[in-house]
Amino acid sequence: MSDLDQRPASNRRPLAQPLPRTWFLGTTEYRLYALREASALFLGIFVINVCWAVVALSRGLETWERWLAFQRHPAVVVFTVITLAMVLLQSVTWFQVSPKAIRVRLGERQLRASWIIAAQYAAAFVVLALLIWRARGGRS
Amino acid sequence: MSGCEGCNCGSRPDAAESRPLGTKRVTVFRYRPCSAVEQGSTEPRGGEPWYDAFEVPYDTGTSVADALGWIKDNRDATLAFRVSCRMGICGSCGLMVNGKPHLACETFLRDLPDEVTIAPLANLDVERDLIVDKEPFLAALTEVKPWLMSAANADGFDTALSENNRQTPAQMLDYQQFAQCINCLLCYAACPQVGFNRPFLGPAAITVAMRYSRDSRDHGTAQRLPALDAESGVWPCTFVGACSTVCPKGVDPAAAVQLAKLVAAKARATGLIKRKEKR
Repeated sequence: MSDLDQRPASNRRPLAQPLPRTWFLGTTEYRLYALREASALFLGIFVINVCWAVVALSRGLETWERWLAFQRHPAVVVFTVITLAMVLLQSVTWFQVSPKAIRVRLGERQLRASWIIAAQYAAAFVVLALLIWRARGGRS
Repeated sequence: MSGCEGCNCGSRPDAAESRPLGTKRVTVFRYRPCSAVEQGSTEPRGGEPWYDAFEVPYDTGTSVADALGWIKDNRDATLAFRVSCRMGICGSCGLMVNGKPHLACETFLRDLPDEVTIAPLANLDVERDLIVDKEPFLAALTEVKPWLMSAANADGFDTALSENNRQTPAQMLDYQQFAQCINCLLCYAACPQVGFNRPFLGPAAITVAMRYSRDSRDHGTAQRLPALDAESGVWPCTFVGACSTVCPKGVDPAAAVQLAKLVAAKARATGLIKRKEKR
């Protein structure tokens, strides 16, 4: 029996609409999403670089100096700047969308999204200030 | 003052009378499932889709739904599309206008460029012209058990009004936004994950699940979890967020999906702890 004989007696022939390969270029929203997803690649490579720094440090001064010299290479500097931009993009976009997952009800009203976003920026700045303070040896 | 009695619509310049504004070129996606057969071929195969263009006269109040009706009445009676309430509440007339999902009844030709392209909702199979197959969505909707379940009878309907069904306005606030969904499927057309991953429950079905699970009268979350915490449940969502952007009722399905992920994750964590305790 051919496939045609197996079909139910119906004139329905639904037409599939596959997503085009370049769907992520379709709208600004999709492009921003694709950029946010792509940022993970840069962050991943950056993390490998940091892990390499730890290994280099454990192997002694000479390896550590070599790692430092590698960081001064123009290509690595450009990569680090792009990674910084990607981290900022990640942070800003995630701060913006996080009120969707965090719902705080105050009596008969929902806490405004802007307050939740502001709280995240405040927490980020507190952590940043603590890190800077620690990096300066705990002195103000 | 013109307009209806007791309302102020006459105070809006465009509401009292419609002014002719000219014509626009409306290009419409066409598809016949059996055009090959209709043309005498012995092969019962669906025809290839094509586009038809029409010059459509419009005024200040002509919606895309009106334009399609005009085409059907005056140019091509075979054009197939869905439309019902014409006031953005039935969710029938969702389609792609210039590549973006819109309700045909709430989108006006006056706001669109001179060239308007109308196509069926993306990511869904087309039955004929602008009509899409809504069956997969209806199956997903059934899967999440969209009804209130009482603690005593978590398998079936519980519509009996009782003391337990009383609710404060504050409790209603937890789900009210999600209850505005009209199942128009604009969110499915906007969601790339629906396109990639056909078994995905999708934004609207998950939103409806959360509408009931966040209701203080409902005790059915555990019954909905197998559908939500499945591979094709909430997890294919990668938070593109387009579903919330296109929603014509401000439902924010992206928020509902993230809340559903929290519910599923919490249930998994609780399950793990309970399993350890048993050992």
